[in-house]
Amino acid sequence: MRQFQNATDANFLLTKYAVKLFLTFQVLAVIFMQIIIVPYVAVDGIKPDLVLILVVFISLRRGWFQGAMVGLASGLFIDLGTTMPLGTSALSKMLVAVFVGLIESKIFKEHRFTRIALCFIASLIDASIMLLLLKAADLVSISAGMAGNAIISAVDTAFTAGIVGLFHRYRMPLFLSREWKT
Amino acid sequence: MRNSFYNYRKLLVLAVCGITCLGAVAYQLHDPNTWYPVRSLFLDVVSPAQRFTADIAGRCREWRESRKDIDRLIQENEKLRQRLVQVETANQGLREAGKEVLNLRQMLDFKRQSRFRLISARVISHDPVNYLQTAIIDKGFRQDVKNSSVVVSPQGLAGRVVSTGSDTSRMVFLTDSQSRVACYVSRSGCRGIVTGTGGRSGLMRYLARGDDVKTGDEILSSGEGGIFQRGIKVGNIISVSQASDGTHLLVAVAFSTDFSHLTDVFVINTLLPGRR
Repeated sequence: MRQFQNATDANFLLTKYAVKLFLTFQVLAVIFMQIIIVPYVAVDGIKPDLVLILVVFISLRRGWFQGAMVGLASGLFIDLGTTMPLGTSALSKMLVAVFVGLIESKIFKEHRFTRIALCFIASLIDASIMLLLLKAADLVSISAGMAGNAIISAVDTAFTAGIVGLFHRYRMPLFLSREWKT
Repeated sequence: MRNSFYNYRKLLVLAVCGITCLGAVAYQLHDPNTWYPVRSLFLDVVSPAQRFTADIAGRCREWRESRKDIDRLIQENEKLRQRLVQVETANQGLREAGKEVLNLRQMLDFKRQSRFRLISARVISHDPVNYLQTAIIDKGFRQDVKNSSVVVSPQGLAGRVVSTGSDTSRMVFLTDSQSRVACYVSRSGCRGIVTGTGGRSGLMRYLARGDDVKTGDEILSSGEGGIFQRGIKVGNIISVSQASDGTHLLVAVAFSTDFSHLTDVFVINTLLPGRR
């Protein structure tokens, strides 16, 4: 496994900023799709959570901290685009990223089914945290219908993750993986 | 050691971010209008893209609806086309039935008004060769049809029976070249003999040069000869000309019965009592 020790190496610097730029571009593109396009592909009102999928994938590839920072940033943008209190999505995505980052070394993350199952569980955790926060803020009342919607949304997100994983896993440049230490 | 400090730093950053988020949520519950300018700015930034996407989605929806409408219209068109064919076929049948009803009504009226006792019959076959003008009717001696019985149609005289079977009879049309009917002109009373020519019209013979006949005059049977009853319409004069020797007239007669479409006829049985 190659590791760059010399921080002044030009290629190393270029790679470091290219990684950050690519990640930023990814996050903005996913936020744009979630806010602008996903509402039109909803089936019976159930939409996949592309931001959550991105957070899970980045946590799997680059660790819990980077996943948490991506979750924080994207969650803030999502909160700005909705009527939820600012910080709700940010906090839930952050916690999901920490959870995924902590268990990523204990699971066989290379298998597609593992990523799909992880997205399902992450979606349930995300929904639970958000509903608890909103319930604590007295903005919603938790019901069986809402729980059912959360489960269906988790299934939808996991299904979408399976499709996204076909491109994200094999198309991602190697320099974005954690093997290239920055 | 450096790694553990790095990890602790990460945890510290995470904790600070988490607490900040919770604080932001709690503050907003206290004052819901917090971050309102930021939200407005964000909405102003994304709204053009949202408007554009909504426009595209609307057009896609319209296109999809129009495709559905087109498919529905095509199916409806096909159903209507089939229905039209069915209705036209039924209409044709009804038109034929209507003609049949008119025809039968005409025959019924003729029978009611006639001074003869009539036996209704249907022409079931025409002569297969073109030289003879004969036909087969579906009544025979069992139905009281006799040899030499006169056959009439609602339009007028049609011919006479020349042979009978048990349930069918053969009749000769007036258009047959062997057919002879003693007639007179109803207007002037001039007498003559109408003979068939094998075609659609006949000739009235033995009219003198000075006889008062003209085109359009009605020709009726005179009853002379004992076969055809008197007063049955034969036809109308269509042309009058002088013979080559100048001694008599050549009068062409159009028969009132349409022999090419003759289907229903009556056979005269007897004169009804009390009628002449």
